[in-house]
Amino acid sequence: MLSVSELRKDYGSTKALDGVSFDVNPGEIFGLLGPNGAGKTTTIRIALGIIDPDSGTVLFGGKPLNVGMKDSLAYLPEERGLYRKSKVIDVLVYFGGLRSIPPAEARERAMRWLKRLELAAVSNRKVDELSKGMQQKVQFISCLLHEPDLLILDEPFSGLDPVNQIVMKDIIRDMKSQGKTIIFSTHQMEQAEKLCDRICLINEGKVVLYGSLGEIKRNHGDDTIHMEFEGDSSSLRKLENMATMEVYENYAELRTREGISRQEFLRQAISLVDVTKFSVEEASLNSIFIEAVKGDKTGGRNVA
Amino acid sequence: MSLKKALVVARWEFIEKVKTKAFIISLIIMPVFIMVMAVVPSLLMNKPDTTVVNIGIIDETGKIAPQLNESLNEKYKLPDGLPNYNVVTIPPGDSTREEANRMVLQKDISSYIVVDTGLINSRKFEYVSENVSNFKDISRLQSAVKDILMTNELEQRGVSPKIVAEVSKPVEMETVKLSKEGKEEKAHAGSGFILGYIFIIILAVFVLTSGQLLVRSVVEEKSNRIVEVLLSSTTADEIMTGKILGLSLLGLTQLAVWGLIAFAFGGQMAAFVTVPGSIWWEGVFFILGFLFYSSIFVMAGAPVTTEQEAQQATSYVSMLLFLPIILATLVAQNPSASYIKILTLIPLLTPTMMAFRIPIQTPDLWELVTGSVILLASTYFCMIAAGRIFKIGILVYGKRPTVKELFHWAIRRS
Repeated sequence: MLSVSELRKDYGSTKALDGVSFDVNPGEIFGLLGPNGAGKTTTIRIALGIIDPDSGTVLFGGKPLNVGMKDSLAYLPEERGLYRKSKVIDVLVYFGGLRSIPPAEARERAMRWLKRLELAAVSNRKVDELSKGMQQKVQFISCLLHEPDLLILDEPFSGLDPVNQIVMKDIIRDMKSQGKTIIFSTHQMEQAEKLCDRICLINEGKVVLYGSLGEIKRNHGDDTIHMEFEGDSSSLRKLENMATMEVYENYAELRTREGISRQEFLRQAISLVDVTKFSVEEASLNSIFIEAVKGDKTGGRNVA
Repeated sequence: MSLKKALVVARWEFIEKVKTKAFIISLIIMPVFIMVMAVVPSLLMNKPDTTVVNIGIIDETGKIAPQLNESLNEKYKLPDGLPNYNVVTIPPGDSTREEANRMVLQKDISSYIVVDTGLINSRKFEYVSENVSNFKDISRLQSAVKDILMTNELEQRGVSPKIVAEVSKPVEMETVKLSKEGKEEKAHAGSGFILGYIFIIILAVFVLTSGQLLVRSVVEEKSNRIVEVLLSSTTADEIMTGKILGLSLLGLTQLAVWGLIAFAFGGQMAAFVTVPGSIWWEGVFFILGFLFYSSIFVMAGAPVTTEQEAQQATSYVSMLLFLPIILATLVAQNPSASYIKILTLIPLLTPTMMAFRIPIQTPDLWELVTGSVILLASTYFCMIAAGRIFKIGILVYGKRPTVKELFHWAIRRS
């Protein structure tokens, strides 16, 4: 569907992208992940032809992007915005028009979507008069009017309340069942873990993890300790002999060093806090993410 | 480039802006403003007095005062037929001056004149008033005194009053404009000048309205990040073309409405200006000029992020538009001076200079052709440069790029 190879882009002396490559298969939900400033948005902008890369190629179905192909793409930018002084329905018809949908058709589709998202009553209001959540939903609709084959969503859930997040997720799943491809960019791993088939993790302009979510998790082993507890979390942080350890207020995820048994760790932990749940499973995407990003920073980066 | 999407953009820009209050208000406010500016002062200036104006005179000769009274009464009447002026003689004496001043301050008289015995030789008299900007009264008094002196002088030398009256009749001059084709046409003095002015003002209003809207819509789309959605659906060139198309249509709508208003209210105005045959050249320079200035607005406007920066950028461009107005009197005196010809060929000045020169005295054909070719070429290059700056500029936030950076964007091939 989309094939990105060896993208490079410099902004002055900072390397925004340093050889990013990945493929997105038709019909999948693909997670483009990474911390803030990793290069996710730059990658998306280049893929959509908004900016040009310094080098590298972007192919859609084996062909470089042209204006006609843009009609089958959709993009929801991270920073949202609509024409504030215009009517909701007019804005939607305009965005439909930009994707070659005739006005009458666009109006009909827009009304259908507004009804589905319970916004029909505000179709003649100015965007300004809508709540933030409503505006986000309107903008989401603007991406769907032309029934795109590829939908690129940059942090689609940020700023949405849980109820609306569920509405959006349902729509995304719907799109997938219709055979559409979705690229989902986020730094919130819990979201990605629930939705994505495959992921590409970028850090400092480089791909650090890439593949199917299941495979990545399996490669990471199934020996990660997930522990819930009550008590002083800081005492846990002082424990030694840990390969990796993420400690939160009443949750910790960790792996022990080789040679140190889990029983040994549990004994120590019990003496420090009140353990309420203890299990050994696959690592969460969040800790894989943190590990990969940290390892990338401290690990073998050659200083020239 | 697909024109279809440019048209979608153009339609949006036009419809959304036409509906705004600001636009509707500007449609009405501007003509009202122009009419008030143009008509009211002249109406007030020419407005006849409704009450008698008392004018004092300290007359040392003793002869001028009655003559002045007679002359003013004969020439100037109030609408109800009564004399406009009443000449109040203040008898000369030691404290006459103080007395006269007191009368002025007490509003017994609006002003007074002092005529001394040496008047005939010195040809000088004084006018004293609280307001020395009352041009109407001043010029009437001045010419009345002059006429009196002349009549007295001639009569003293034995010329009969009848002959004096005959020879001092005013002379009328008829102005005839000779066109390039050798055709003679009656024209009011200064009509070309006025037509030139009107063209410049129309062009300036047109460019400024569309230009400012253009810059503002870019700034809005940047601040809402709508620009990214636009660019993911179409290309920067199409967005730019669409915007220029849509906003020029808006400017045309504005002009059409104003034209109708002018037509409805300003019938006499239209009769006053004579339209020269070379008028279609005006059209050529108008369209080229509009496109040229639009591209400059795009260059100035695409890289800015805030309203204030936008205002600044547009005000610099606006100044260029008004430069020819500063040169107006020079152009009117000698439209074919060689330095005027050179200035006309500078693309930034060509549209307005030509707009001004054509109605006054149509430039030679070679000048018109050279001017339009240079302007066309500059417009072409500016449009390409503007497209490049637009493409990069609309994604730039925060720090405003330097002129050097802009130049690099403009010459860089993508």
